[in-house]
Amino acid sequence: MSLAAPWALLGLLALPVIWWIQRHRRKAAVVELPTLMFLLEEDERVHQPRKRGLDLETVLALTAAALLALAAAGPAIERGAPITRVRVVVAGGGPAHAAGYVDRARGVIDAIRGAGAEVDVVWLPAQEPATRFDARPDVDALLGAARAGAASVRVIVADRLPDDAPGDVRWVGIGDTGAVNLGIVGARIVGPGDAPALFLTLARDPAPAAPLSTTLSVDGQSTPVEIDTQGYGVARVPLPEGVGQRRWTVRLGSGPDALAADDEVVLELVPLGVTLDPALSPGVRAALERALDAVVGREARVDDAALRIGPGRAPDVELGVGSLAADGAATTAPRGTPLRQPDPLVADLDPAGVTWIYAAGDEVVEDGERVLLGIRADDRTWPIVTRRADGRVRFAPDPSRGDPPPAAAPLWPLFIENWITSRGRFGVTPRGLLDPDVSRLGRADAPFDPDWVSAAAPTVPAPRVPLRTPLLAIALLVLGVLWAVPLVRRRVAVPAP
Amino acid sequence: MTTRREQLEIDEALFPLSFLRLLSLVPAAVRRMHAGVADGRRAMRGEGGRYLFRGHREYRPGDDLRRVDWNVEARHDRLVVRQFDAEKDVLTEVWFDASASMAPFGGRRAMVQAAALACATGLGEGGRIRLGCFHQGEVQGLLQASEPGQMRQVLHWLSVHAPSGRADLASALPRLVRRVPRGARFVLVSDLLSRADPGVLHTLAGRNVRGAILHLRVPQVTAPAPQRAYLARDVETGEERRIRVDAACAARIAARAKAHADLWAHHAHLVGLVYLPFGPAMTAEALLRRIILEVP
Repeated sequence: MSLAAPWALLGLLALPVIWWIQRHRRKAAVVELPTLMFLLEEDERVHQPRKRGLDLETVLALTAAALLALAAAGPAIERGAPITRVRVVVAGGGPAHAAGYVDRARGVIDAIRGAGAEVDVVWLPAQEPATRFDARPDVDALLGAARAGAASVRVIVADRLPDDAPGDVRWVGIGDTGAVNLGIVGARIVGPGDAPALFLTLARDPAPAAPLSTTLSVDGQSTPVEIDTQGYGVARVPLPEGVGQRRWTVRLGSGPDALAADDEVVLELVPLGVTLDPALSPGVRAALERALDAVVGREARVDDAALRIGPGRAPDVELGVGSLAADGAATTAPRGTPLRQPDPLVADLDPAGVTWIYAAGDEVVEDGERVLLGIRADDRTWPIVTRRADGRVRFAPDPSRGDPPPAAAPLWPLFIENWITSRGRFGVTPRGLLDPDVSRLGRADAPFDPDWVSAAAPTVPAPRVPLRTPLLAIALLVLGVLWAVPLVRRRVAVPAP
Repeated sequence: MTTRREQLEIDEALFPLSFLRLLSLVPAAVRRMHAGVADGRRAMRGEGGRYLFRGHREYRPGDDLRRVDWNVEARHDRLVVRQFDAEKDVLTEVWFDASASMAPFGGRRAMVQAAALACATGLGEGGRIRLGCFHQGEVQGLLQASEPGQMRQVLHWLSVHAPSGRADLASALPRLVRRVPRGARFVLVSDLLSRADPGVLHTLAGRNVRGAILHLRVPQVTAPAPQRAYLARDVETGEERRIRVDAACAARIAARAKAHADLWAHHAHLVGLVYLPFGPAMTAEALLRRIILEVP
């Protein structure tokens, strides 16, 4: 209803006019008497029409005019409540396996329902929960799912928040800020040369304040392992001969863990093959071999695979991300992608201009650490693998991207390791290493704000019942009464002589 | 040819046909009701002279022998005496209140019919009447009549003389009394709604005046029913008062009206006038009966 409607305004303006007319029209019932001599001693009130209050006719006239004005404005009442629909997309996948993640997501959904909204819940991936090895859905997929369908408010529930979230979608962070990922297991076989062994890389996100002692269990055989304050540790477990023909299951030791999915790995070993460019100088080749050995151990078979590392050009092998098989039941062949296509790891680098270097000895030192493996481009070196003064290998953080920043993410070396593995059809396909995007727990905490619902326009407005006809009917009724009142009053005001 | 009778217009609303029929019966009614009334009280129509023969009756000892009808004794051997009415010129003065206060609530109709009945009674008794009115303190004689046939003129004057103005009884009554001849029958038709002192009637004392005060009493004034607030306006003065008449107020008003009427009745009685109240609801027949029987 809008009282700004012309007829409504006209009707409202008529109210004082009607009052003024009635005020000047109305008169008391006058009875002409032969004399007032018998009334003079009675209490009297001097007849002063201007001081009289509203009489029935005036009230009826004003009521009728007001009703007509209201009817002209076309009012309507809402039958029922409007519906505010909220589309909630919950980021599933691997993060959904974090402890309490699903409960927190459902808590958010309940809170949205509690705010008076209808909630459409979409889990992305669709499975609830997703397989624990599924990668975290990327932001574009979440946004696409959130923007689908009719909704007043679109909410994405995730454990991480993007840096530049678009304004049309709300984000709710349900990451566990206090979550501790006990460890992430990466494994490969060293050997089967002289001493076959299982080379295990362990990482923890975040890095512990103090070295963490835990236990690795390989087919029932426990081996203590310590994760240092950098959140990284390695272990070698001696294995019997013939490891390449069997599966091995590795589990990280017990303890509070926010993401247990990355504590288990199933190995189905294939040697890692690396081809070093013959153009490399013998010294460089030797350095790379040593670097590969430092990174992936003896699993790396130089000149035994298509991964080519050489100066002046990028490896001409296909990229591939090895998919992990849940419980080792199956493995998936890497999906080949030319390296020249954009790759998250080298998104800011020009593959064609990359020089893979190996700085042996004291040739390159970054922050006091000798660079074993790095990337050089545009006369700048990004250290990847360095050796510390105490002899321990240190892997540099991702120089280009990462969330949380790679500098604080000890998963980076594992990721590099996995990346190297994924450069070609070599190495162990089920590497026992989750996609780091899965492994890194999101810890964003952004609560749901009920004002999002209350301030949003209804998705489905409440059905409205027009009141114009009833108001007109009442106005006509009032007008009828207004017409009849003088007639009735004329009959009853003065008794017949 | 237009007759005089046709020129005298009569308001049929004031004098409906039924009332006119009643008027035609007044002489007979007067005779019937006055039968047996002592000599000298009433005059009958006749040729005039000192004595008016009325009839014979049996002789009673002590009767004047000069009134014995010897012819009857000779023919029928009965001793009867002749009876005569004393011929007397009875003048009935009918004065009505022509003020505006007579009009509301059917008061005018009741008033003019009462005046007409008084005139008809006077003429029906064989006497003369004089019709007059008063208002604004002035008196005005309208006509004199001595024949029943002149009643139409009476009705005409009563019809055309619309109530207006104030009565001012205090000024009108002394003037009116001075115009009333000695021994006349004086009939005053008024609502007496005046603050005048009823003692003014005492100017009639010693003038051998008899008659009546026909007091028009309108219930809306003298005994109003309880009702919602209204604006009362005095038709004579235009004065207005806003009043709400509840039961207690109505009782007080009725008491005041009664005291007012009683005061006038008391003074009327002191001067030999009959106080005869009437109202719009009173039938003409009832009023006529009271006039004939009660008004001397």
